[in-house]
Amino acid sequence: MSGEAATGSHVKRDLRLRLRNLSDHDLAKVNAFLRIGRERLQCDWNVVFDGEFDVLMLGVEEPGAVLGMAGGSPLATLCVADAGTGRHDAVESLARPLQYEALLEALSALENRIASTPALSAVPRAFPPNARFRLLRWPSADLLQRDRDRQRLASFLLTRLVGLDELARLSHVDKPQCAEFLALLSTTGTLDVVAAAAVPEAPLASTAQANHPELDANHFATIRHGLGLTWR
Amino acid sequence: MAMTQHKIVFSGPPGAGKTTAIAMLSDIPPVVTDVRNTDAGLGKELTTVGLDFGQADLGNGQCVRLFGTPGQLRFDFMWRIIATDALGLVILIDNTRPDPLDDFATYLDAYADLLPTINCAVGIGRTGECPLPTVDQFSSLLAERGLAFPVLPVDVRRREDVLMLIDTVLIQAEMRT
Amino acid sequence: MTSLSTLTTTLLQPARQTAQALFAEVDGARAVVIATADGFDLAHAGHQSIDPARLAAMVSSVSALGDAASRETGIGTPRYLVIESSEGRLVVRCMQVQEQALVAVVLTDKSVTLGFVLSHLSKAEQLMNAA
Repeated sequence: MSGEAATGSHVKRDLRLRLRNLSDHDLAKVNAFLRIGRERLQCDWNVVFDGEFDVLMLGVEEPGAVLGMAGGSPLATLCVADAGTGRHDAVESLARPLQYEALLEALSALENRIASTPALSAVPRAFPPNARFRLLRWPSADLLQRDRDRQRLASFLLTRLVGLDELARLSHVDKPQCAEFLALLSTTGTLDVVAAAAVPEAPLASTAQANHPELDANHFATIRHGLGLTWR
Repeated sequence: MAMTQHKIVFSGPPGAGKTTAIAMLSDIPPVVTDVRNTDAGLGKELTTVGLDFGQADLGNGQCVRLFGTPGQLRFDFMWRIIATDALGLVILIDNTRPDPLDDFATYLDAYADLLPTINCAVGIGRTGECPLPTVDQFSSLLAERGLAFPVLPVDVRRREDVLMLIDTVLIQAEMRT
Repeated sequence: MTSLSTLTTTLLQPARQTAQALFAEVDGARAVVIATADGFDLAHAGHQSIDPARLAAMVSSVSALGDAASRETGIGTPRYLVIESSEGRLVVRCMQVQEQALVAVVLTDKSVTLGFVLSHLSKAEQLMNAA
């Protein structure tokens, strides 16, 4: 899957969508609509929960209330208010209950506006040399796209900091693919990146592992082989 | 040579597929402690009241013991007993239940002191029938508690899906060595 | 509130009477719980402060594990399970009452003769079936 995107086909720009003050119901709708409407949008919209973002989607009492609430420096703000609460000229707004077509149209309009804005991008951050990485939360389903390699790579990044070489070696996924995945994760605000000079804290061992110090890489290889878990 | 045994526990609400998941991996007929259900609201003929047990023989004198906990809340004392010293914990959720996120929170509460150090994966079942809540909402619930585990949509009737959950548990364990 | 099956609700009254009778007849009994095999308490009696719902769930688990072990070893279906502890005893009877699998447990102190308790539990099952 990830290889296809790299071989000459159009690579979509990543945009980070921060959701704030939205009900669980609206959150679920936004995620579902983004997943369903993926092919229609020019960019890859990734929902983020902290860190930097490109577009803020904010639940408000009335559209004008968004001014002064946004915080950060988003490229655009989209507010969500109950139907009938009016519009504000300075703000893009959506009415509740959220509708699929309305959301897609609003996002498409934002995509066109952002594309015409110079010197703004959602490119992955540059990593320091010999950087080590760790995930702060499990990546979104849209990012993982049920790809086994991506799911496995994400699992390697959960318990402690790991460098690119080590990630490739342990996962048996080639280094460029690992690097691409790390770059993608870096746009979501969920990847902790530590420079080589920092001394990482060792992860807490589980009780079972603390009681069985003989559990090493060979044991896990044996377990995988015995279960028929061979990815490469 | 003494047999090296590893334990992986499957937990989750009734009907989430714990017994099925174990049967997918076990080389022996699973031991089940199912009895007739008397709870009219459960919608199942049988319910697990003790534990499910299976075993995957790895060769070389090693095996993985697979345990399933009873799903219903009144058996929560069994959850902790069974999960003691487990190499990994798999929490299975049935997305067609009335409140899957609440179900999930119940298990996060029950295992709260284990979760910071246990290798854990979460399998969300029947997302095709019920796409909401989304898989990402379960990840968010974990993130709110400062936790990060693999959360995967699964069909426990597919062996490769169950194996993927186990693989993510093994990966976490491997990274702690 | 759990909605028990119709068959189970018809057993509520006999279960209450049986629990009271067991508690009265077994000297040294501290508590009696009668539960469904899937861990719901139908009736309880006694002076020791216990949570009958929790005990019902626990003894149903114990009973189910005993049943699994009996099947595994080919020795039929279990009749009794005894947890002999330093300060007392839990005696569990696996019963079949009107096509319903039930579990009865008597919590006693150390002074009570085990055979006495087993005999009363056996009689209790007969009485519930006759009710």
